[in-house]
Amino acid sequence: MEVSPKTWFMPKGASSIAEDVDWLFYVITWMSVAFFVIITVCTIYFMFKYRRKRDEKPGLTIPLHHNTALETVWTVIPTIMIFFIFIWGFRSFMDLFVIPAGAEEVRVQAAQWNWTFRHNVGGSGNESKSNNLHVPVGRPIKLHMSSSDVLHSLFIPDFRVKMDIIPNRTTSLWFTALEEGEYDLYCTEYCGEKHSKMLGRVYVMSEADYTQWVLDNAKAGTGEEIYNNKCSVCHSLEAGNVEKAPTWHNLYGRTETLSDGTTIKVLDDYIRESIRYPHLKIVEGFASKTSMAPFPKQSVSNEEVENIIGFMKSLSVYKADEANEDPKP
Amino acid sequence: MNKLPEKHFINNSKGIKSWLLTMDHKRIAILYMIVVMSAFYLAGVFALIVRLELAKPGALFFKGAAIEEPANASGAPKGSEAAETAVAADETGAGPEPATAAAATDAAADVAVGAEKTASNNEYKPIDPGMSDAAKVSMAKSQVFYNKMFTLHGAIMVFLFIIPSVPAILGNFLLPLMIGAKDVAFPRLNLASWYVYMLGAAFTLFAILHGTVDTGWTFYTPYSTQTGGDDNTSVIMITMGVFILGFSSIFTGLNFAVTIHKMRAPGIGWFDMPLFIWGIYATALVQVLATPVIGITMVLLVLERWLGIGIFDPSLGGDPVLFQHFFWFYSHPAVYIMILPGFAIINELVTVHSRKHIFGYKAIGFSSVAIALLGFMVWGHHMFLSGQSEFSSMVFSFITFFIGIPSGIKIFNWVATLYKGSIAWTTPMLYAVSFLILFTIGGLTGIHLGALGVDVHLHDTYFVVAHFHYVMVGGTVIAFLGGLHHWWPKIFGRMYNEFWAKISCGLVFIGFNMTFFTQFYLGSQGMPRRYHDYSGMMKTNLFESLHGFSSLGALVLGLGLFITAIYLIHAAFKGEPAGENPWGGLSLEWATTSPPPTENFLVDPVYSHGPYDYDRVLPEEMSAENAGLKREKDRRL
Repeated sequence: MEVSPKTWFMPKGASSIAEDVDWLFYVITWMSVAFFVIITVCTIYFMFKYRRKRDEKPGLTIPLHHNTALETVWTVIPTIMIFFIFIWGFRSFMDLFVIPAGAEEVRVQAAQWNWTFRHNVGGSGNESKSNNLHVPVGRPIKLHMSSSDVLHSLFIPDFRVKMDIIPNRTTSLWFTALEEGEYDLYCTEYCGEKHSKMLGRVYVMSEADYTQWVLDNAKAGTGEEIYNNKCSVCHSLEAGNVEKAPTWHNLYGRTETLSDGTTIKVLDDYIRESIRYPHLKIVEGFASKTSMAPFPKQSVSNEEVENIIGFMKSLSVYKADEANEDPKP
Repeated sequence: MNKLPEKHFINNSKGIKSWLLTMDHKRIAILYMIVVMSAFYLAGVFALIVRLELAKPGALFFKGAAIEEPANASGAPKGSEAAETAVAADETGAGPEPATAAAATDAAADVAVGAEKTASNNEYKPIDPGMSDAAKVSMAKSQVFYNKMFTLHGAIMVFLFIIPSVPAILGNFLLPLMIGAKDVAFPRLNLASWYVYMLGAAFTLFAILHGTVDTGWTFYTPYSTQTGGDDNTSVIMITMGVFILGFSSIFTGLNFAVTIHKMRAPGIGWFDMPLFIWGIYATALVQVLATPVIGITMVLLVLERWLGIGIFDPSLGGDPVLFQHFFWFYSHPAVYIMILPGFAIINELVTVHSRKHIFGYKAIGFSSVAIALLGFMVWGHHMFLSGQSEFSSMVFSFITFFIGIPSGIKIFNWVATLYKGSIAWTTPMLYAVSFLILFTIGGLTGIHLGALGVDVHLHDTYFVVAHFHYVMVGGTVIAFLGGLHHWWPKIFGRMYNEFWAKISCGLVFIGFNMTFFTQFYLGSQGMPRRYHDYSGMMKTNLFESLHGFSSLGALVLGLGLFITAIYLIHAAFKGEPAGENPWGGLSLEWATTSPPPTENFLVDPVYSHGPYDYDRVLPEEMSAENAGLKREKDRRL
């Protein structure tokens, strides 16, 4: 499958099914041109050939009422032709609607008058959200679509795909983009005032860029949410509760002694390091307890780390401006 | 020199009452002509407004000064100052716009969201986040105005013009004449159908004056049950208008079907009728059988909108796809209510003006009935992407292809009719040739849309717009104009100016192709329908040149139709008397005076020869005194 360049009547075909659709389009078009030429040429030729002169006295014309052989020919031939067109049209339609196994799912929410595309982030339950569609090149993508209000329809001309989106139902379509780049995406079911502004772009990216984009756009949880989901089993918020791990109460800004005897002031850098690589600097007395699992970017994004820091600050009497005045060790 | 008869149906009685209470089918046809043609020109003006708006990207109507402002780069909302500008713009705006206040709040919200997003990335945004609030308000006004205009264009053209056009005007006038009857079977019902039409038109007009609707002529739910908020009036009025207009259509269809069955003159069998009557008969069947469905659908929509009964709106437990099934179950057969009468007219034009027996009479007659019946089984081809099952789509696609065959047969038959004819280059003939060319394009592009895989790409783009305009305008309207030119001298007894008629026929043909052929390309490139604006897209430049050319064509088409109106109206009052049989036709309407007497014929007509017997009867042998053939020995019965 290759990208089909722009042809005289069709735009560039940048998805795996475009080639088949365009082929059928041109088969029908050339057949139509042939029929059109036959009909028009005959009509115009007869118009000139049998033209009645201005002062000609018209007489009787030939008694040609019908011709069974001719009528059979012009009934049977088009019937056979459209039968084949029907079969081919149905085949490419089924290709469009039978979604291949293993297609990556993007959930689409259509609303008056914008698009929301949601991607799962590597099974972590986090999601990446955007008003434009981002997809990797060369891999089947399934759009799982629903509407929050009225009818909409998603259309990507260069991919030759379109499907209506209906409130209280889900519809889906799929495609494999063949070339990196930017493509128009339209709403094609009239949906009211700003229907013509319900536009978007499809960004087709390399696999690596796509993975990075999904991570970067993941919706960041608030510090408190992440604490409740991921930290609260071990870290307490009460003063003095150090059963499994240091309490976060007044932790930010406190000076801790580490297991190797050195001291460190708990500020942003140390917290960032401890989330990603918790085993590097362990506070004295906790080395023997359950060790903390590292949280990589896929699990807690950079933005979320900053949110955690913010949340820790809110639990501490130590104030940020004091921290700035504090001489760095 | 021809002279008008002393007494005819137009001067038979005088006074406004004699017209408004008439039961003469010919006068009712003229009453219909006045209102239906007014609707046509009104909806044509709406079409020109739509085309003007699309000539350039961005807003044209209600643009205001605000949109010209340079974009505010920071995109930050300007607080109270911006709000004041918005209010000011609101107050100075023309006419009450219910959506404006809501739009202002929306706009302000958009600005805030836009500003936030700009900070995080510089990805594509369809609405410039730096646009001022005032600009957004005038943009919203322009959008709402455009949406109302295309809705009115569609709704009026379909329900007030094209459905009644040929049957109610030409059908009403010609049906009794062609079968040698004195009137239709139920003259009172015929007049009632006109009054019902006027009532429906009044409801529609009320909806227009009361702020109009922006639902699209298809009234798709759930948008049509939500738009306009708590103000139900416009949507309910226009849907009730459609409901009422349906009865007018049913009355006419019923009347015609009974007339054709029971009122034929002695000797006229089914296969001795002009094919115009076959076309009108097939249309009448569809009108009677399909129209009740749109009536019920519209009532259900009103019940949902007004009383909150959940039928189509999912938030009330309904199903919007059900509405589409109901709607197209009528509206696809309605396409045949529109095009079959067009076919019917072409039969008469090609035979009379080429003085040739029709080729394949029975094939044409039966294909009309076949189209009428198959037309009930293809509604789902409007819904391939609506979420109906793939199996349904397959079945509908299959039947759709088979409806193309009888249409194709007709085209071939008409072309074959011209072979070895004696073709006069009259205006009606030129319209018939225009029809053959334009309808062929319309029909063939239907194959693209019937093929499932290709339809996915073309559905709801300008390709569809171009296709159905080639069928509806290139087919029905061109045939209707040809028919008007063909029978105008019979209706009014006076001939129009052939020079201007040919000029405007050429302008219509050229303007139409400029407008709509461009749109096939526009659609295949992906331009969606019903878009107020196409700025900010990757293909904006391409779309601009295509839309611009299309709009230019619309002006040429509009000019052509304007000239037509002028010389036709002039001819009705001041044209040269045309004589009984100016074209040399053989069907019975030419065997009476022009205009015909109120009783239609001077003597009781008797079947003497077939309507297409150009191989054995010279038109000169036709006579109004005998209501048929002069040669006594050839008169049957």
